[in-house]
Amino acid sequence: MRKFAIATLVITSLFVATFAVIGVVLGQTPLGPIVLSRETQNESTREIVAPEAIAAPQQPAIGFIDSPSATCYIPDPGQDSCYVNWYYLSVGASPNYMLTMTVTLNDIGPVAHTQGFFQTSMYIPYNMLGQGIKVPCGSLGAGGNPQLGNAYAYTIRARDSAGLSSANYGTVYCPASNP
Amino acid sequence: MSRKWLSLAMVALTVTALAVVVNVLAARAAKALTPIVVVEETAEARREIQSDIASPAISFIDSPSATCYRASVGTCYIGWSYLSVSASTSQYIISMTVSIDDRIRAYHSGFFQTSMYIPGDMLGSGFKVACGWPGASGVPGLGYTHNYVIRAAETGGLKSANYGTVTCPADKGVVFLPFVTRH
Repeated sequence: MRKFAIATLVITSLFVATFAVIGVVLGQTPLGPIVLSRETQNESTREIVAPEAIAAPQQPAIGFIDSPSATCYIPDPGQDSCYVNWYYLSVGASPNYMLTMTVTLNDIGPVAHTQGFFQTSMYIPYNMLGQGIKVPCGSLGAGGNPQLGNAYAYTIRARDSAGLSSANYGTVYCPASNP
Repeated sequence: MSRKWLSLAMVALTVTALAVVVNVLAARAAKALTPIVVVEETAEARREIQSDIASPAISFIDSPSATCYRASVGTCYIGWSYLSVSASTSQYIISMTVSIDDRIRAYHSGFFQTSMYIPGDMLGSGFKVACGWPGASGVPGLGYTHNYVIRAAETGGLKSANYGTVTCPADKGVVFLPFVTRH
C-alpha cells in the first residue's frame, strides 16, 4: 500500500512538473518590439511594429503607409540639384489617433515631420513638400545603377496613439547630373 | 519484291511525317520566345508595349499634352499634363523613367502599387531645355525639337514605352533697356 502511494505521488509530481515546464515555454515571448506584418518587394519593405509583445493586438489599427511613386528629378541638367518627392503619403489608425509621420533620407536625416492633431488619418500630398527635397544628383553610376546617379534610401515612419508604428523602407534613384 | 518497296515507302512516309511535326513544334517554340510588341504610331509619336504574351497586362503610358514653354529669355521648360501607367492587379509597377534627348531626367519608383500617376506639377516647373533660334527645327517661328522617351516596367517583366517629340518656342532675345531721360 505504501509502495503504491509513493509511486502515485512520484507520477503526479512528474505530471505537474511537465505541464509547468510546457506552460513556461509557451509563455515565453521575446521582449521588445515585434513585427506584426511585413511585406517585401525588391528594395522596398513595409512593416507594422508593436512596441512590446504583451501589448501587441491581433489586428493592428494602424495600416501600412501609402507612399506611391517615389520620384527624383533634375530640373536643370546644368546643376547638380535633384528633388525627391512622393505622390502622397497617407496612413490611418482609426479608431486611434495618428501622432506623427516622419520622412528620413538615411544619408541626410529627417527631412519632413508631420504631427497629428486629434486625427485618425494623415494625408500629405506632394505639393506640401514644395518642389521636393533637394539632394545632390551625383555622377553616372554613383548609386550602383550605371544609367542613374545617386541612390537615396529612405524610411517613412508613422506612430499612432496605441503605440503601434508603421514604416516604409525604400530607395529612390536620381538622374545623373552632367559630368 | 513489291513487299520490299511497300516497306520502304512506309519508312519514307513516317520519316516525312516526323520531320513535319518537328518543324511545327520548333516554329511554335521560336514564336513563344520572341517578345510580342504592340505598337501605335502617328507621324511624330509612337507608343509600344513589349510582352511575351498576346494580351499584355501593362497599359500604354498616358502622357498627354507634351508642352514646351519659354519661361524667360533662353530658358524653356518641358512638361506633361500628367503621366500615368497601370499594370494588372497581380503585378506591381516597378518604375517609370522620363528621358529627354537621351538623358534620364526623372526616375519614379513604384512602392507596392499597381498603377502610377504623376501629375504635371509634381515635377515643378518642368525640365529645363534650350529653346533654340527661330526655325532651328525647320518650323518657322519655333526653336529646337526635343525627343523624349517615357518607359515603364512592371514586376511581371512587361514594359511600356512612349516615344515623342516636342518643339519649343524660339528664343527671341529681346532686351529691355532702362529708359533714361536726359536733362
